[in-house]
Amino acid sequence: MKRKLLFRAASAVILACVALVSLTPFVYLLTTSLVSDMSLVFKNGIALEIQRDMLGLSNYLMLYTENTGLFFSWFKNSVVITIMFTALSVLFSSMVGYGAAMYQFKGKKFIIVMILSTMMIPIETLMIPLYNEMRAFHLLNTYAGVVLPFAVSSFTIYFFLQYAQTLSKDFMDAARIDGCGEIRIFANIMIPLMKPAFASMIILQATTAWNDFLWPLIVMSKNRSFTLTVGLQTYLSPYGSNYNLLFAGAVVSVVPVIIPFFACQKLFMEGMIMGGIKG
Amino acid sequence: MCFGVKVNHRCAAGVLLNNKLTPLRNVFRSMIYIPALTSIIVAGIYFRLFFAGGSDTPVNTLMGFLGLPAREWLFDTKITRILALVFTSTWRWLGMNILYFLSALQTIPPELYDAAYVDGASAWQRFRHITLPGVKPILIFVTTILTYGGLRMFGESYVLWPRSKTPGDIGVTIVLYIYRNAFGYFDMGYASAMSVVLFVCLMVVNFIFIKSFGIGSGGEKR
Repeated sequence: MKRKLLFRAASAVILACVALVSLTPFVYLLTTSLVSDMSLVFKNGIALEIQRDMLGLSNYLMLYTENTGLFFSWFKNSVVITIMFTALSVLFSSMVGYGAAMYQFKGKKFIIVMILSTMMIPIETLMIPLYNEMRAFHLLNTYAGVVLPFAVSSFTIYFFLQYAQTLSKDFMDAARIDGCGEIRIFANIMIPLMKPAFASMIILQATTAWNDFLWPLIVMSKNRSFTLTVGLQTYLSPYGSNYNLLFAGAVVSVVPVIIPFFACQKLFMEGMIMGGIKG
Repeated sequence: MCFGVKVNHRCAAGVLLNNKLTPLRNVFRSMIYIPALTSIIVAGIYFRLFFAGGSDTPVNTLMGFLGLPAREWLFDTKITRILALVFTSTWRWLGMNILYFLSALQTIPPELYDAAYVDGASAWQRFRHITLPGVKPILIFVTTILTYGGLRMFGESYVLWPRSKTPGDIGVTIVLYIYRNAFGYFDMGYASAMSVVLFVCLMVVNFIFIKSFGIGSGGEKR
């Protein structure tokens, strides 16, 4: 019994340490973003000396007014791109996955293998050809340029394919006898049945799109068309970074992910666990 | 210039989180998980300051505590730079990997442990002969994606050093180097060649893992 108690205490301590390491950056970002005079807080690197009377919302006001709302055009870009990306990705991937799982057609196996084999190709090796492609299509600096190349990924298709395989085909036959078309079967019967799959994929794709950095950095080259992640790093510079804007901006960029996370933790974790395959 | 990040002691943390004895495990689970939700930029902003040269930063305070001189972690030597990079990416992906182990641990039937306990197996033996084989597919899977992710690392290196310039370019990862050649100097040919090499490397990593453990894509299928 004593050993059990000791074990409990030890594991609690270890986990608390890990949790502390995970969470300090957020606490630090949040508190520091409220300090208006950054020179009081750190000279070279962070130091945790924050007094009550330093706190205020001036950084956020500055973020709002700076460069005629530049930050908020980034925010808007991020929101639009996230929504477009998620919607397209979930819609088309679910269609492909469902189709490949439910219908028999010539060359089906070959197509599935082709789709899955692209899962092995890392996007980093594709950035140069894709960039040239986007340039040829005149999609640089557009939302479509960021969204389209990766919207339908083999991983999402695979996920929906696996999920659709668990669904019963009897529903389809019953609906067909009642005179339901194939598209209506998908929209009215299968989508409600695949709701859990949709939920976790929406969450996964939305967080990926929101946090994506490399691809928006390549496609977006105009100040106004940056996404949040790309825009934020422009505040960093070798000649002294603008920490006031940086910290406030970082907090604003994290909040839209953290709040839904606390609202539906389980869905998030499930979705992200699946998504790890994507790397 | 490139290196895989392999931190597999997460397995131990996973065991702790799965153990029903551990108090408040759900709270810990979500707390550890939060970093995976943030973008690399936010993490980078923090860790740049975290590893900066001032004597009051957490790392340097710890160094002072141990009686060692303060360091400029991001610029000092190759080792400290790599440590900074590894730490940053570990911080981000720790929670996620713990969750993988967790899902694997939950598939191990508890009867096995009871049977082993009855047969007089020690805690270590139980871990070695029941837990380890049980999580082996996930262990391989996580090692693969971490090596993969390490080779593909880009954002960490981009953000930790201002305008991605380091003296001697030691903090530069392959992908950043490709990026810089392609979109900084517009040397697309050279960059493409490097992409091909990177692709081959990543494929080799994949195949080594698949072959050496002989489980096919078991990690992915789970």
